[in-house]
Amino acid sequence: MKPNVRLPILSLLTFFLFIFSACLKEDTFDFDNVQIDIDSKWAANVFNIEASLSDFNIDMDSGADFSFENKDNVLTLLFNTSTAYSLQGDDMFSTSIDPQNFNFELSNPYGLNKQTKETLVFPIDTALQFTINSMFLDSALLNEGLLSINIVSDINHPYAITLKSDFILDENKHPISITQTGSSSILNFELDLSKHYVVFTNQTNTIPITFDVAITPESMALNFPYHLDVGISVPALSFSWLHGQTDRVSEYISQKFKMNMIENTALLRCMFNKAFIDVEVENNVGMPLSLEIDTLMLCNDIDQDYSRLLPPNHILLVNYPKNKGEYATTKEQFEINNFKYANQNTYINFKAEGILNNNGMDGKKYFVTDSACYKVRARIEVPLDIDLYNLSYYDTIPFNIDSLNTDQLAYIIFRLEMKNNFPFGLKTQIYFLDESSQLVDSLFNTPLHIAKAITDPSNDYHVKEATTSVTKTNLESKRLQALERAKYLIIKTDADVNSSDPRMIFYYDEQKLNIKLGIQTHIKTKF
Amino acid sequence: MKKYLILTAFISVSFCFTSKAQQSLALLQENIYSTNYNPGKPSLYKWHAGIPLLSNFNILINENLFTYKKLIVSTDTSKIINPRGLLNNLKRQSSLQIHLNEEIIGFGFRIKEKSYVSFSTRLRSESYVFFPNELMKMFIEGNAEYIGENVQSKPSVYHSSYLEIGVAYQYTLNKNYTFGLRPKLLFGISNIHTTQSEINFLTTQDWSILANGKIQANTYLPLDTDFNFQQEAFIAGLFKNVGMAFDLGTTIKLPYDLGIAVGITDLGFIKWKNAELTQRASFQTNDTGSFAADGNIYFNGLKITMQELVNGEFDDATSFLDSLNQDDFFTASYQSIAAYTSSVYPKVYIEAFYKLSKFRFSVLSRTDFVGKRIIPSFTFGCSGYFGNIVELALSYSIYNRTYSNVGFGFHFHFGPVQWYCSFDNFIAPFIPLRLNNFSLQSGLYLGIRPKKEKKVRSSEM
Repeated sequence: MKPNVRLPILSLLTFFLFIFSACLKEDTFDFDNVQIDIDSKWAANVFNIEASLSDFNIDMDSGADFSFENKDNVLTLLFNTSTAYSLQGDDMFSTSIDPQNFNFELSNPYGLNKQTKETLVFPIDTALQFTINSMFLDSALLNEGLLSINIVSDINHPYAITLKSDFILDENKHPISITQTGSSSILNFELDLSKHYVVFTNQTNTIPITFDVAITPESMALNFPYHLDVGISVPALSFSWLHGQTDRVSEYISQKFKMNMIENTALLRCMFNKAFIDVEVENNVGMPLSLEIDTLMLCNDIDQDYSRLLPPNHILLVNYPKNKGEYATTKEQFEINNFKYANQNTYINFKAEGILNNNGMDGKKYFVTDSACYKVRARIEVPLDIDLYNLSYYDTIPFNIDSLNTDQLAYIIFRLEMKNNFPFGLKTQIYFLDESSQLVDSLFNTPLHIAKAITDPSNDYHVKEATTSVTKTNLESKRLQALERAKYLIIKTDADVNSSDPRMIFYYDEQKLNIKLGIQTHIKTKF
Repeated sequence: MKKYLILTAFISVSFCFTSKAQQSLALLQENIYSTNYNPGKPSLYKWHAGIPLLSNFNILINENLFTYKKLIVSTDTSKIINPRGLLNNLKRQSSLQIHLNEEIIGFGFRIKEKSYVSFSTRLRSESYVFFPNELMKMFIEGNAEYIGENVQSKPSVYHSSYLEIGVAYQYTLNKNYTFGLRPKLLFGISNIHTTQSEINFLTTQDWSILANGKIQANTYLPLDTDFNFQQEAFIAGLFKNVGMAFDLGTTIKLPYDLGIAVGITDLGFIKWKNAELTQRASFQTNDTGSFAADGNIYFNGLKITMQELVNGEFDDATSFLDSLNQDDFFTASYQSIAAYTSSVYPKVYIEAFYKLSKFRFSVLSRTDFVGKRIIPSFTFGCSGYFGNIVELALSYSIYNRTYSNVGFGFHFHFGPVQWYCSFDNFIAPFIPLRLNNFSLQSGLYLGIRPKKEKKVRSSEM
């Protein structure tokens, strides 16, 4: 290679290397502190709600609940009202065994006054007295009870005392027999009576028991007569069940069976063109029950609409279970027409005297368990063929967008698409309130109006045509920043009804409201 | 002097385009390996012999989507990745290409002045990755810009590596017409061949989202269906995947120092028959499931009942996302198949040239055919001898939609020793932060010209 060629090429290569390294800064590939710039616009539906009345199945605080069911394609509103309970079996029939003291004297059976090696046995028969109101028992299963026996004697020889009874059976249904030996003057027995059966042989509620006293003489002389002081107590006696004859047991029950539903957030006034009311009594007590009903009245205090369902002093004979633990249900149905309903103050006023075994002691035997009771409630079926006067819904929901950095959002567009198959329209507004309940903003400039579906009165008010609306609301960055102060949302919705023809029939497969909520936002941020 | 001014002007224009070169080697008339692009390009040698493993090495890495400068903005305190910087490049097809070539043994000799026969064994690897431009663009801008518009992308991957054994025959008629043919026997080493690819993403006017996609590719890789490396099967299968290909071309001299050259290379196929490693990878969106409708993944908002809404029982977004799994959206599989055939990637070269004194000015068009895609490129170049021992080439190319391609090549001959090197990105050192291409071709071989042509220069061809 000639020098005049080689030199420029080598120089050029060196120059390239120099330039390459010179064009890179030392931090060019230092990515310790790197951020990604996001500048994009996104749109998607967030929620897709299909609201149907049959979706509702709500338990209320009072123990009541309501739901919607399909009955021959007509939606039927079902109320299960709150429930009235009788006393439980262990409150109706209290049981106890009174503390008892006995004194026994053991006399010399053979005229012995000297030493003998033969064991001497002295049987002593007595009885425990079972105390119970209004019953002659023939058997019972005890739940709790500790039989405590204290014996003080002057026997100066070793002895043993056996407590036995063919009328107290253990959980395997064997008669009890327990023995205690003593060498001092005091002897104590304890027997846990839980899960023990008791058999009563007569109508005196007594339990025969026997003490066998066995004395084994020693070297010293027998000092007859010996004396025994016996103390018996059974604290905290309770039963699992009782069986026997019983007297008449009555109890007065008064209750308002509430028919309120979502009364804290909604106002509903309408007229039921027809309703069926089932008064339902569930009896768990194993004896006949008569309900002497003073009052059974459907009451709407707001509209002053009262409908008596039964004449005074109507007697309802209630079934009773044949086996322990079972329920016997008795229903009586009433039909009512054109009753006005208000969701905040409609109830059934119920007053009755419940009488167990109204015939009293007649030789028939029944049972009662400790937890047995009878309960009364009402179940109301309302086919939704109604006249709707007023329906408003309002709710306050905590609201917080602290976690949303509104600086990163140029705007949010809410797109609300609704398809309404209900025979009433809706006017909706959502308010944003600050911590002191001052209005910050509202979501819609004017309340959002969804027109009612068109129904055909000549065709049993079936829906002819649904209505659809699409609303877009744009919240610019400034409004979004203002909403950071908002702490509560108030949703207020009013039904738009036709006052000249408020009748509407709700069909299972027709009335639905489809709500599609979409959000479009412009995100500008670095992370 | 005038010629030097023209050359200087050409170089200056090339720099103004802030470009890089692609086909510098094809412009070097002395270099026997420029016949790789056109077997009908006349050889100047009486014979040549490559030094094993050193005679011809080529590496090309090219992508037209990312550059440091476009993606990253540096501030005093941090670096900011700005995906929007890619939007301009995403408007048209973008791809990544990696090509490797290594000649193992090569030689050739002239027969009766008019014919030249050569033999070459090469290891070659060509890879093309086509990015899902439209989807990437949508994810950068957000789908709100595409409401009502179906965004369709067809990403694909093509890769073949193989051993190529070729014998070339070249015949020159009347010194003006040269024809060449190179039949080649191929032994496949690895392959990825996309047979089906389509992803659709639609945000409807009511902001519902529909998406579907199906991608299927046949592969021959040293992996089993559980992606475990299979060395033994891979080695055992090295000569089982046989294929064929042809290169053919011609160079025609025209009056007024003009000429044209046409070459078609890599027209062929490989049959992948080693059943232990022939697999099919497939990915398909589900047409059944919680989020499916009419054959699409369909999202129309979280479905909530009125009951859940009243009770506030609906899951929040995090719980919703946690509840999702792959089965809700797509099915992916990698399964064995018996055998398949894939084509190698044909290229068509068309060159027009003009000789002016000892310089040769060329306009070269190259078109790659990959699957159903076409990758065109254009090169403007000049080559010439300096000092009778070195040939230099300078080029400007528009390739793979990149416009900053200024190439440079040289070929020294020290008696029979030929050393050459070409860079396809001559100005990369000046603009490293805009670099998205790298190409180098170099080698060393022995070559003897016929006596009467020992001082032949390119302008005298």
